[in-house]
Amino acid sequence: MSRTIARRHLLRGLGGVGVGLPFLEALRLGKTSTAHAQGLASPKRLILMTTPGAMDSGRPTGNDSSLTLGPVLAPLQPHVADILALDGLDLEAGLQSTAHRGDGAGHASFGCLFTGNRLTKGGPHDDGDGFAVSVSGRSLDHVLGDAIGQNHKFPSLQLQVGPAPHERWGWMGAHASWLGDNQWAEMEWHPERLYERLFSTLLSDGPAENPENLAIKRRIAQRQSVLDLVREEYSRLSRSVGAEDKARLEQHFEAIRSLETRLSQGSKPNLAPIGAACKKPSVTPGIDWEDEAKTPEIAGIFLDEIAMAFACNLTPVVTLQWSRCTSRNTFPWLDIGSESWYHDWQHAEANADLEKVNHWYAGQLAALIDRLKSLPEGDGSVFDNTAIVWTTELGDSAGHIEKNHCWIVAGNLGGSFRTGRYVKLNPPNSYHNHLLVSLLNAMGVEQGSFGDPDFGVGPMSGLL
Amino acid sequence: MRRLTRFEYDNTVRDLVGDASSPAKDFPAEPMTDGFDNAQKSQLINDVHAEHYLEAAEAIAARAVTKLSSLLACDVATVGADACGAVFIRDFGGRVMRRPLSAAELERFNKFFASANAQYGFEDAIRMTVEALLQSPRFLYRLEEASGTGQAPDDFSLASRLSYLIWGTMPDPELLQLAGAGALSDPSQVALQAERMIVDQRARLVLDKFHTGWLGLGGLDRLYKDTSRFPTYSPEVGQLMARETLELLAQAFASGATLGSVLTGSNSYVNGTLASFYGLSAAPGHEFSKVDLSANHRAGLLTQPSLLTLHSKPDLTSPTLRGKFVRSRILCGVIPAPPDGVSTDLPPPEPGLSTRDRLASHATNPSCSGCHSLMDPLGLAFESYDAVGAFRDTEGGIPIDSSGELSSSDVDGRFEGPAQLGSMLAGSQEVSACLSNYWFQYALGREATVDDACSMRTVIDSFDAHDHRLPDILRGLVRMDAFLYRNQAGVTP
Repeated sequence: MSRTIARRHLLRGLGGVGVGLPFLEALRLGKTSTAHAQGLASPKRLILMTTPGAMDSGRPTGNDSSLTLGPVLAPLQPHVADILALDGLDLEAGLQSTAHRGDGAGHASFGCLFTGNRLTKGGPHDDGDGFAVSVSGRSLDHVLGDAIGQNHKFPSLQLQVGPAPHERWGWMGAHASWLGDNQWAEMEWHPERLYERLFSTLLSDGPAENPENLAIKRRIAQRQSVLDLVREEYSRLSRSVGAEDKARLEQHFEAIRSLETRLSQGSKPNLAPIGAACKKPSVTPGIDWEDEAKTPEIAGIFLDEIAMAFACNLTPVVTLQWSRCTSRNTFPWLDIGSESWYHDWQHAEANADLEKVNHWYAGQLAALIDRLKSLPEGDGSVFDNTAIVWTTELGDSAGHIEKNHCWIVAGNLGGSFRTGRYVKLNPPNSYHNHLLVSLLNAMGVEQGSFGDPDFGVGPMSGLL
Repeated sequence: MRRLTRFEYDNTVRDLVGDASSPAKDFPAEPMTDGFDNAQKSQLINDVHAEHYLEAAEAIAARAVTKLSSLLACDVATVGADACGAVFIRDFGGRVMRRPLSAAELERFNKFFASANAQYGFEDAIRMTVEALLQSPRFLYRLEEASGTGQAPDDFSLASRLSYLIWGTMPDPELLQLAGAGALSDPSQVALQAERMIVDQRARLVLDKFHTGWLGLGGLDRLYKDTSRFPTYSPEVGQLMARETLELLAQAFASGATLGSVLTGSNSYVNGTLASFYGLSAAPGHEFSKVDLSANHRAGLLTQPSLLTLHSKPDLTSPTLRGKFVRSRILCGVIPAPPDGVSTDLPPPEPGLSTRDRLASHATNPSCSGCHSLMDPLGLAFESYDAVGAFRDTEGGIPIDSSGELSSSDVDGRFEGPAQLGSMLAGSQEVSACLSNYWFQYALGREATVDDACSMRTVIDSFDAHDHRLPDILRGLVRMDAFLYRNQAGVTP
């Protein structure tokens, strides 16, 4: 860690004069070979996956040594030995928000999932329609990114698959990932732009001087010099304006600097050389990314991109949000009997259709596990050093109650969780803030509590 | 200091380089405040935004240099690369920043250009310069300079205030030329320019933007309706309904119509698809044309199918939602959220029970009636229109009763149906002040505060002067202190 900090200081110090690419390359290569020489443990990785609604019916069963998935989770059967089912978990932060809020009850708890904090009334995101709620605190993905993601192109990555296009944004119920009080993190939903952000500046396999690599290097160098000039404009202007404007220009300056750091780190992955497990995935062109009916294809591309982001070591943490709270997805590729959209089916207790949707999501999780298992790393696969936590914001779909959830942990994260079994949680160990602490600890971050301590302090017991 | 919204960014690059690809449509959306996306307080910035600006700038610049000769006012072969680059930076850069570059800015950009030209060649240097300009603070933000006295923004700041308020885009050559000549320091010149701009068709984009935000018409984009009950309704129809209302308001604005006539008139605008959905015999086609609906039970803005559809449930009408809309958007009233632990579900529909009957508990239960008396009796005026805005005189065999009562306003009283309610609202000072208030909020990207009392007075007086002619609000906005001057903190109002 001290090496990282020293390097960041060095880069910042040099920022104003424009760091030439070869110099950056040298720094990075130095770090890479050191890491390899020291035989550091394989990196740990976490995917926070969330889907709207709840697993009402069709829950798994089992005991401390066995797990029976049942028909809804059947797509996960090939990976049953790698799964830990957590039944009876309580999203206490969400539940307590409901009790305090009244309007919007149970409609916006995505914001509680990874912050461990209850929703707050008011806030700046007032849509004028009674859902003026917000969230305080920084969510787990960003906290982990701060702690362990600083050597990666993306400290953490926020992705959203399958919202109806007009529902990507708007009010806070659309957001599981939070930068800080009242500030949601933007989710990337566009497969081509995600490719661009992740892979476009990765140097390709083969001789360093091949035409593609030269073009990439030239592009990076040009970007760098443009951003150097732009950053200087922000810096200069911020010195000559009033305090309020100054704060905003400085914020923009920081945003560019953070972007520059990310971009410069993308020219070569830190640990995994391209050409081994790390390859640029292919993004099928010509798909209408706005068409909900294309969600299965789009999801497949996202899963490829996530797997390769790990194989190329571009990020250690991914938030993968499917749709959003009060989803208006219609799942036209599934055989749904109900009218209208997902959120209405929840209210209507259309359980057969809700099960079909959860079954499909289970299939997506299985496909993600397949991909991670196919990528060799060390003596095993990328999956061996990964955990995927599949969460829902509700425990009872029709009642919109944040109690008695069933969440799935897939992968043991280098031995942090004992899988292949079913755990029935009991209060207060069932409060989900305990799980957030356990995830932090499993990722190597020693921290005793996370989120609002009213909803649990310390790790969750029974995970090992 | 305001950052260009996605709407303004797209308009600006369209006018700057003729790029109509709407590159900002995929930027992170602004959070909505009271229906508007331009609230200054919600303009956050982080590296994801910065990355979008970078990618958009690269894409726009790459497209722009494919027409290099149209960008350049000089011949490289004659004057040399660096000299031609300097002319480009001065001229094009001045349009990007909406003011002449300072000597220091010119020096920095010229130096950047010369270095890029030496390393990568002329075309790359132009492209990189465009990229840098499009990410610079003076493009993305409306940074203002003080005039000599410090009380007023300088001429170029006023040019931008005018153009972004009325056209939602960068100043046109005439505004920049006037600013360069120092003419906009005179408020009467500002008013004169506003006059030119208000009648220009370029004002339409802002009118649509404002009306969409004010009335929440964006909600019709993909509104779901029960298809078994309304088989001919589709989201496309909903979008056309929104366009109908935008057309109605824009035409009223262009003709200088009064707010009262908008609230009571029976004209509307439909195209072929809408006409057939409404069962009207109008000329088919995509274009919207004026229709007189006095024989079709239409009476004013509030009976537009767009609003009636928007403020209904998928299958049934909702007098509560309709009343809430009128109370909050037309009267600027405030309605608190329901108290904790109260079920907001109505009794289920059953034969012999009208929607009015199902609402009865709102009036009798004391924990409901306080707020619902502000909504339900208003919304019941529209019971003669179903959940997609179609006229009906019975509901499940029960004759429709569309009488109600307006309370807590300056024009209180009972009414028999929407036409009478529209007439009452047309005479309300609160209604005209409410519209002025929403325009103020849109114009400044913030709510009015007590410090804005004088400015609000200017707008309301302007609107009152000739019986509330719609464009008079804009005429007032460009004459108010909050528009013409800087506040005490020296920041953009």
